[in-house]
Amino acid sequence: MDPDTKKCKESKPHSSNSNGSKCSHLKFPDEALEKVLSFIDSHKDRNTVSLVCKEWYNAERWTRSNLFIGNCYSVSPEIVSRRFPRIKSVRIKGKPRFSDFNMLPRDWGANVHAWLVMFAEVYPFLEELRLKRMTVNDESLELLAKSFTGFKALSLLSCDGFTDDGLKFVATHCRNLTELDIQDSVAVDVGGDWLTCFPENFSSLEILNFASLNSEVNFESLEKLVNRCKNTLRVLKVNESITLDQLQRLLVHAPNLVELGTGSFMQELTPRQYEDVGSAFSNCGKLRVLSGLWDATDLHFSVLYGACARLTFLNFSEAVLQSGELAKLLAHCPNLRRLWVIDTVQDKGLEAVGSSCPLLEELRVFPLDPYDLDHQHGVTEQGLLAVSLGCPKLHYLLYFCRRMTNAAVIAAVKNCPNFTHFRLCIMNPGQPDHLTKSPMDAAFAAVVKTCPKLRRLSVSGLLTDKTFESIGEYAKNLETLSVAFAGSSDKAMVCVLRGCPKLRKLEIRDCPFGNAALLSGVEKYEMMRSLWMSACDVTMKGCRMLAREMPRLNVEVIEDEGSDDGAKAGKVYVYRTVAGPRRDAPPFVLTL
Amino acid sequence: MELELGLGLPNQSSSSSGHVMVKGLQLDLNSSSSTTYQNNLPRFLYRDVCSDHDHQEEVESKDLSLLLWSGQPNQEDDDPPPHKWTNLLHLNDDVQMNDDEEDTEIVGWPPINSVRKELLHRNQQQRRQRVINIIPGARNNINKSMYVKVKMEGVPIGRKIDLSLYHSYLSLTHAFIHMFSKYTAYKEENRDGGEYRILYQDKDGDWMLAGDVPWERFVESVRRVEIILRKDN
Repeated sequence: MDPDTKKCKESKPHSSNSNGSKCSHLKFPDEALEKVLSFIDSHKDRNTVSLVCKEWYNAERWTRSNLFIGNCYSVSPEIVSRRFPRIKSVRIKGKPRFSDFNMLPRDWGANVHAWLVMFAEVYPFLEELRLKRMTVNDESLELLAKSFTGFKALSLLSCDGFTDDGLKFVATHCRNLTELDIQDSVAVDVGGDWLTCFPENFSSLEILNFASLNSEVNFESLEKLVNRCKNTLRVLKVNESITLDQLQRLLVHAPNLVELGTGSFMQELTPRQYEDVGSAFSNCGKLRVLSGLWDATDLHFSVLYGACARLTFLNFSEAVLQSGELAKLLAHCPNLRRLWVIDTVQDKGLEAVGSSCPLLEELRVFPLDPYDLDHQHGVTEQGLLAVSLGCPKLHYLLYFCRRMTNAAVIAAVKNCPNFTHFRLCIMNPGQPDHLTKSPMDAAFAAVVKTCPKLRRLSVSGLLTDKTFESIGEYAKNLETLSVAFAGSSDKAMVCVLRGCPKLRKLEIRDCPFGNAALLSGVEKYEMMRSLWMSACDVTMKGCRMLAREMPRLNVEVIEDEGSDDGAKAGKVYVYRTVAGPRRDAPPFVLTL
Repeated sequence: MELELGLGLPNQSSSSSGHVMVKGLQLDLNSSSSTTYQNNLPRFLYRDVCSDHDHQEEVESKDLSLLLWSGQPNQEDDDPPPHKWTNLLHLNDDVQMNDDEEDTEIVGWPPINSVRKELLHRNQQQRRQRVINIIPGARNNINKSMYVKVKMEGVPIGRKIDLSLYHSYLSLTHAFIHMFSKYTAYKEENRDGGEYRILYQDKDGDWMLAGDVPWERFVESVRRVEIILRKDN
């Protein structure tokens, strides 16, 4: 404990119990309180601290340096700038998650520019900006690059709106940049020239990720950059344009890499060149995370063997592998904690996962062909069972399949009761248990009953209200729930809203839930971050009623089908806010 | 007819001109406004987004996940390539969609980040071209595209491939692996130790085994390609 604080506490006379200040026993001088609070990082803890009393609120706001905004429309730049004077790092999330699946029209919003204008004025010492699902235009990147001399880290996750011009500003002007991390971003016209814009003496880069940008980059510049930053670079994720022999040259310059995203493996190399690549991998003693691996097949695996034993995260979501190929590689990877694969590995491949990776904690299985109607391909309930048997530490699952049974899920959660994230996507909407043809209610009931730590759940398959009764009753720690093509009546949604005490995000599509269900959550929505309902039975009338009842919620209808009360509200997005209705809403977003 | 179908994902514009179709269990297929349910059994909504497909590009990409057809194995060549799929949801195996039923497509389902994948792969052909060019020894005949038909045994729909993009049998084989990964990837169980063989028909009309002559000679004489599975006996 800080000695200053202790001293102050002891020297203060023990004041009598007055009905006045609540803090009479806790009257630290401001500086001491601020010093103590500066050790608290978690924004949740800080939010709690700020509620104690006015002095603590003030001490907290002066000492907060990391800003986290879970929904960019829940608060405004003005309000933030008034409350927090000293912010060094910012994390903002924008669009609702369903925008990833084409469910939001273009130009819906979540543009970062207004925030940057405020930051430039109020936080000139800003060092880090991390954005998720926001629109970032080139002019915003220019503003960013030119406004903050000490800027260090830029992370763009699932963002859109920028081109290489914007990135050029960042590379040119951010002299102290340590991190440039672009993941899953929709950046169609991003050329590769920005890489040449890093100054000649620039050498502080620790993280560079441009794997999701699809243009060729100037390899010579990249090589020089990696060489200059060889002492600091720990994360390097290149894009598909980088070939194997180029990768080898990069690895030689960066043997301290902890995370590597490779380029494409499709290249004809001589045996000597393969050997060189292999030794380069072996020499990366700190390598723990491997991704990219485009076009990798077992013809190439030998180059990876030198690094496999140390790997903890292997992301094969870009490599079309068969079960035998995966098994062959996994035999060398006993320390895997996280594995992402495409379902071409089939159940047999997952059996290999179960037998080779006992320490596995996270598994994601993506479909090669999400729209294929042929029911025979991919993974099934057998694969899930096999992994659960071999990997008792499994707690994160994302599983796309075309076949599932209640029995398999029940057994799987019995084997792995520590699930925190259970995201099962049976790809045909409303598909029943493959063997018994009954609804999948028993499966998800087992999940919520057996896994008390469950925080995130995605349900699928044929589901009646029973599933949601179980969720409401047992899922005490559930924070995020995704529902599609499920449920029989309003009761389902009501059970969830009445039941799950920690629910923060609820996203629903194509379910028979109407106004009664929507309004049953009237007292809950302010304790949640957001609600999404699309293609349900909610009408404009219900939305209007909700908006009237709860002025501190924004009830937005996107693409309504008419504005009279009886019209269906096609897409509804409800979220708590202290900023009032959006000022930048496009014409197709109606705030009620 | 070239069949490469890059799926244009449903247009992101705000006007989805579809009407919502509701289907109850009785399969009153033409009912568009009923909201009756049966006894706690769920029902589904489909959004009809027929109108907005305007991308039909050639995508010679391993990501065949965007390739859709209606499931009819023997498409006539002169039918327009279908780009919607008939939903074959079976509730109790005796409930089926009519063939007359309007093709429906569910927007945003399955919940995969296909948008990004599609955009990434849209340029893949051009990028592959550039990659080949910087590999020493690669042929620089970008301007002369050389399309040949490729048919794989057991696969009803053929493909076309631009040979000028490749510089060796190995890279061509890789391209085939990915082009047909959808089929081969799952057939491992059936292979029984057999191998895929690449045959080609040369300009004299003879069928030959690929790999015997140098790459340049092969490219000059090949007219069409067929990939067969040959079991070792």
